[in-house]
Amino acid sequence: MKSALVSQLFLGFAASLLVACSNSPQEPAPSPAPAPASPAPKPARISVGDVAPAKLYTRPALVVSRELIQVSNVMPPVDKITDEGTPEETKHLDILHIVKAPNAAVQKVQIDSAAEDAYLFLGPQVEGQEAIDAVLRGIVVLDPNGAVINQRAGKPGRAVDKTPPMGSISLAGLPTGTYTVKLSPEAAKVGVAIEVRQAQSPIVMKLKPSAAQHLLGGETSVDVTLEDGGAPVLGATVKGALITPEGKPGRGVTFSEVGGGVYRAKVQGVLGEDDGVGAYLVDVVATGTSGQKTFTRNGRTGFHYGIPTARLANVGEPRIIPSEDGRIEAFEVDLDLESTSLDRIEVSGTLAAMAPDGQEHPVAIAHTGVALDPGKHVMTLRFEAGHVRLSRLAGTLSLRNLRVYSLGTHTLFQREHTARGLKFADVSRDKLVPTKNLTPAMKQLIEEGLLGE
Amino acid sequence: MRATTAILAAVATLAVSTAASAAVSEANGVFFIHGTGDYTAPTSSSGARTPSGGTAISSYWTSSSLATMTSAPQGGSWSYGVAGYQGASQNAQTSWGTVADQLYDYYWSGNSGQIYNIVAVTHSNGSNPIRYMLAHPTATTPKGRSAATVIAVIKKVIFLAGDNAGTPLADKVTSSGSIANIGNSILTFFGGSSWNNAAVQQQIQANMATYNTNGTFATGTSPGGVPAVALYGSNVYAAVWSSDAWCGDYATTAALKVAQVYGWGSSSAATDGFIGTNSSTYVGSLPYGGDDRLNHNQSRRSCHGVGSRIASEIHGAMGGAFASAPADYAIAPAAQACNATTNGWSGSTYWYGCTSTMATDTNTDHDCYVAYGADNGNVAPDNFANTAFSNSAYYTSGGCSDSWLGDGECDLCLVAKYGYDAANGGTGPDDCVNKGAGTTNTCYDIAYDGTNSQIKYMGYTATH
Repeated sequence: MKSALVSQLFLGFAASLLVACSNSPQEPAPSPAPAPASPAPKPARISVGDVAPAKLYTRPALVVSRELIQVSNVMPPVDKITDEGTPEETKHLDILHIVKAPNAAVQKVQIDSAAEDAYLFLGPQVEGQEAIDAVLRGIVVLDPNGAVINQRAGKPGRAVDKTPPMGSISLAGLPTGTYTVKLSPEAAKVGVAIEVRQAQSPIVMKLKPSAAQHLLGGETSVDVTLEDGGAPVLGATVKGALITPEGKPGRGVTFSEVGGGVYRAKVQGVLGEDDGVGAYLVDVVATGTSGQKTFTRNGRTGFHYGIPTARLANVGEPRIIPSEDGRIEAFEVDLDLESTSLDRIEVSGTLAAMAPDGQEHPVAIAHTGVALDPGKHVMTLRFEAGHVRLSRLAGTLSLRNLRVYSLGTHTLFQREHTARGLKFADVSRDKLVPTKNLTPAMKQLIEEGLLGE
Repeated sequence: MRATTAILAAVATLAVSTAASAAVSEANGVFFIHGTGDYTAPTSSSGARTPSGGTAISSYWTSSSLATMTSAPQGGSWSYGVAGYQGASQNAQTSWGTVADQLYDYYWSGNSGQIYNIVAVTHSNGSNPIRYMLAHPTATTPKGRSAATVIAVIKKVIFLAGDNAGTPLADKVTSSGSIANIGNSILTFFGGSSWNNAAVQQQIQANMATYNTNGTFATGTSPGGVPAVALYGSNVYAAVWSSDAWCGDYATTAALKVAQVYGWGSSSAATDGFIGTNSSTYVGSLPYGGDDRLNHNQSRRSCHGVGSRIASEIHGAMGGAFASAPADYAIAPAAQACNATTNGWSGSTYWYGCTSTMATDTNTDHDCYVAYGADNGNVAPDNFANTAFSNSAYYTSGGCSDSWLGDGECDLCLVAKYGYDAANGGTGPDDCVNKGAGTTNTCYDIAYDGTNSQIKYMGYTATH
């Protein structure tokens, strides 16, 4: 019975592929039977958020739990299936000028917007309120016309020297242009952060990494897009520097103008095997001129850096596990992995079905985790049929968001959004064996109407 | 390799069916997970029905707020547990295991092992240890349990002001290397006097975007297959005469208001002063929308009805209904930093004040307006222009100056204009905070100067 079900479902998938590929009005020839013992490797279809190691590296063995844990769980079909790995683009309008100690006593800051919510902030690089106030008292900020702007208005009966110094200065209604920050010897000695918030400036810096997960040996870049009122800003100078996962200054990255207001820096080659694994920030500063305005923009983006030690070698054929009464107990797929170093690896995937809204929605998720020594391994993803049944969706179940994740280093080693097209075709809900055990969360989802028995 | 372990199902055998009845079931528990900060766990046994001791309770949540959140609408209260962990010095990828073990210990020890309908309530960055666990059910805790074993006893997660996409404040302190512009009370949300810790590094917006994208943290309306709701504030309400503003500590409210005004609380307009709604709504379903009188501090202190709303959500998880927020009431002028109602001569200065007649007549009295937040149909701060405070002739500076915000003196013209007088760090947010008996505030108000027969903006000392 098991083999019959497997055959039926898989053939349905194979036939649909053949129909899709054929231009002939004739019936397509039957596909050759797969060889379960050594399935042919399937090419991975590439999606924007996909991650794949170019090569594996040998790393010191990690101290990890070796316990094999296999989990299937429900997934209410509320959210749509999306390419979860698509990196985020962020917009930046602010200026951050760190005057490091010791430094020049006169600093110039280009401010291109002085709308109602624009501010200039002074942040002495000292600790303690008294020390901060003492430094602030030694700073004078002048607008482009030479007027002092960090001085409070007078009040009857209050001496000016008793006035608390200003660390936050409103720019509302002031002219744009070159502002001057004069530092006393004490202020120049300790350093000051000069920040400008100009939320309504039309000059926008957009930052976007090509991938959220950068793997050693892979290609990752960071794009900076400069626009003024939507028009590209050309000829700017863009500099970047990494911040390590511990928050320490790291290496610089070099940006080159690629046209259309876009400046790009390649990350590969900047980090190597000796660098720590974790979330790196890229601090970016862009300076330039747009029209008559000179501008500076600061912003941050980032990516996770990892050194891959495991990857998928192959995805097996979809396998139906029948129950004793001929229904479906579970859906399984074997994943062939290769590993070069001891780590605890978690593989996971989502089963998705087409809903009446014409969109794919999740119906179940499965995870399997175990410690992998160097070598070749097979890990099995098992989706309990009863969990799929609770979603109230059926039909063709597609594997989505197939992931290989290092629990030892919190690194995504691999992701394939379309999971090599693996499907369980023509699944009928009444053939799914109901789950025997409902967790409190499942009961709650049923109570809320998001799942149904 | 063909594993056959089905942890979720195996543990769930303990979860025998419970009726969604009106009575509080001893099988129903609540577990609270604090945000950034190294707080200690309760010192009572992990099975205590109402835990006690430890800084997670005394400093982060407070016993009274926990009692409010665990009061069942149908009467009685639920058993609850409280996590206490290294929420500052460890990031969520590390701290999750300790949190998970404490939750499981509460489940296992609580009421003789009969608690298995646990609603997890997180505040701020406390969401992320749970999100890591939900994303990785095959990870193992320091005590050797699988995350799946712990997930199996959770019925629902309530993300209270969850920092799920990071905060600009984390960016600010880590990029500028300075806390000079940040109110001291806000630093408590970063774990104390230092921002330089692993949890703050994790909450940098770019880092959270990375973690949300590379599978480190679970996302979606039901992360990891567990139902979740997000409860959050969308504004900081700081009017000095409002109990909604005073709840949880007015000085913190004022500091969060400044963070909102300066744009530090969010890259978008809506924020609770610390977390933008882009972050607090990133994960979970959104049954209520944002509360515009619930700042980041207040959401953990059961202010503006959120405590009973949480209780209703917990109760709803077990078959209950929603409780509405209580109405605001005015803070008495005598309790404010500057009692503007005092009427009469003081030496050669006449203070207009606000008598009961003035408060009800058809004149617009500026001191009534600022003491009670409204007078003669003019409501503060929207109708500032209709009051004497807007007359520039009364000021030597040419008008009520914004440069007086946070200058150490409570300017009633600014209270009339904005509802508060606060600015950057240090003592700034404290300008209009009454610090209690025996303290004083320096106040400025419009008065009549008898020595030269002029109406002027003048100072006085308010003694409490």
